Amino acid sequence: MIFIYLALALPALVVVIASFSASAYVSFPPKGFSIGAYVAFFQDRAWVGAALTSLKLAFSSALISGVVGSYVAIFVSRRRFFGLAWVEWWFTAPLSVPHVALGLAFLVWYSSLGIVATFPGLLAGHVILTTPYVIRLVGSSVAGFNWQFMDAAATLGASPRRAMVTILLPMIRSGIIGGVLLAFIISFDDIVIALFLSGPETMTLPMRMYTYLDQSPGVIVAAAGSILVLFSLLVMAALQRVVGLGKVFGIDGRNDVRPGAPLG
Amino acid sequence: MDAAAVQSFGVTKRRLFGRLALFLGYAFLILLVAGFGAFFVLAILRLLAQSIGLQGFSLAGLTAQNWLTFLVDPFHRQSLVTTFEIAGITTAITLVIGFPLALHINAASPARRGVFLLLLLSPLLISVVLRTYGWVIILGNQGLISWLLQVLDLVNSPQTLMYNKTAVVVALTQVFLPHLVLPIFVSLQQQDPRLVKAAGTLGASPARAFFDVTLPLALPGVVAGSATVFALAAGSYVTVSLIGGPRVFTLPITVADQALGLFNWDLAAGAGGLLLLINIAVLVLVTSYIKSRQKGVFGH
Repeated sequence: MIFIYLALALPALVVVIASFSASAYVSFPPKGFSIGAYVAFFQDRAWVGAALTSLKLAFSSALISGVVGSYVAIFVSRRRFFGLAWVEWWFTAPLSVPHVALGLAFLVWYSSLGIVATFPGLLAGHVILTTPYVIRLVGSSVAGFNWQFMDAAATLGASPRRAMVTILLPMIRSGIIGGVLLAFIISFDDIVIALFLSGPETMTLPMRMYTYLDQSPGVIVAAAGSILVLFSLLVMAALQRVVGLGKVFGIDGRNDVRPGAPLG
Repeated sequence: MDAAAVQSFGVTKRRLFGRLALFLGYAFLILLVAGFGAFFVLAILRLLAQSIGLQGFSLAGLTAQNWLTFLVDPFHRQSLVTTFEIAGITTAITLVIGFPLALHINAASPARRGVFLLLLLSPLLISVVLRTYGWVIILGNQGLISWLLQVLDLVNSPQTLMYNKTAVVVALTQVFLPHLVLPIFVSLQQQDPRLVKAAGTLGASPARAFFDVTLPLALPGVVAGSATVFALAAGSYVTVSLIGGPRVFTLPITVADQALGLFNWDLAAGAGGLLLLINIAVLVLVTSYIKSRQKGVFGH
């Protein structure tokens, strides 16, 4: 069993080890020890540019899908009328589309809209990709919220807005923060949507890594990968603190088993 | 104005604002639904239209060619077969490794269970590109395994283990294992541990208790997890393209090659539509199975 856990961590570990190699190309065992690849990474404007594009993209899509997803999740759980189940389905449908098909659909449709290879186009794709996860996490938070608190607040004279800000939002805060963090990391890690929608001006970090991997993976790619790992670990630690990784992936004891990818 | 009139005016005003807020709330929701429709639903519809040659509102170019070619043309049929082959074998292997792993995590003490779950889940947040790159370093010609084989004197020149279906399945198994273990673990968690004890008291051997109690109760998790892994493996692009190299063709590879390399969007859309269909078929089958089981257990 220990071996299996090791095998799960091995690929990421190997990339980090290889990134400290002193030779220009990755080989095992690494020849010597050097941080040259990291120096080269930060001196290369194209790599830094790609990292900045990824950060900007991940921040923007986390912010937008955070607002959209939280709004929809809260609205759907509060109001009950015919059609709202469809609203939830509408926003979580991207979960059941394979990423390549999603990417191609974006390419074909967004090229008619003229936004392929632009930042807004990429952002739109990523918001579609990440919103369902926010809805799921915020939704499971709101499901545990007792709406009678809001009635109590109203009885005590609070305006709906005040009740919302001082009671509802603080009580489901962990779901919202968790959703935003998850959206951030999904956008930051995404490769397939970027494959179809990014252009030379909007090259993301995973996309640039991928292009290099297809040709000759130099040690600088390993350095870029290690930076990606570092980011993932930071977000993971934050997620674990705020909501617990179990809840992020849909295990908090109360959930039913259901098909569908916890993470595409 | 007397006091009562002021108060009633205040109440109407508040009610009015309440109505307005509710109206704006719905308006914003409708706006979001429309936006999501414009950037997602229309994209999917456009993809399907493209795959059957629908241009605008004209039915002139209507064709089933881009779908049928995956049954008729030997090369494209092979990519469909390979897709099922890779997804099927990956699912089977993850099941063989994943079920004992789920049992192991479930049997651990709560403190250790948390650690095991963390170890299991953490790879999920690391980009697929990166995990695949790790496999390139492990399996490649200057890689870890090649080096180990040389150290052990089993081979005397660098060997590449990539660019074949086996390597693809190995990498996919690692990448998707957590997706299988999680639902099985959830099913195991939901079982009452006293059931196995009761089976023992009634004279069942541990093996019999496992096959007659634990396994049947864990079946929804097994089915959900297997379906997820199958769908993910069938739709996997990055891992198949990097580890499989130029000789392994699956539907996602066809989608990307046709769309990005050859600019044949029609055929790419056919492959993408087919992939979507497979995904939805798997989801529908599994969801109806789980629903029917829940009815069977609780529906009396």
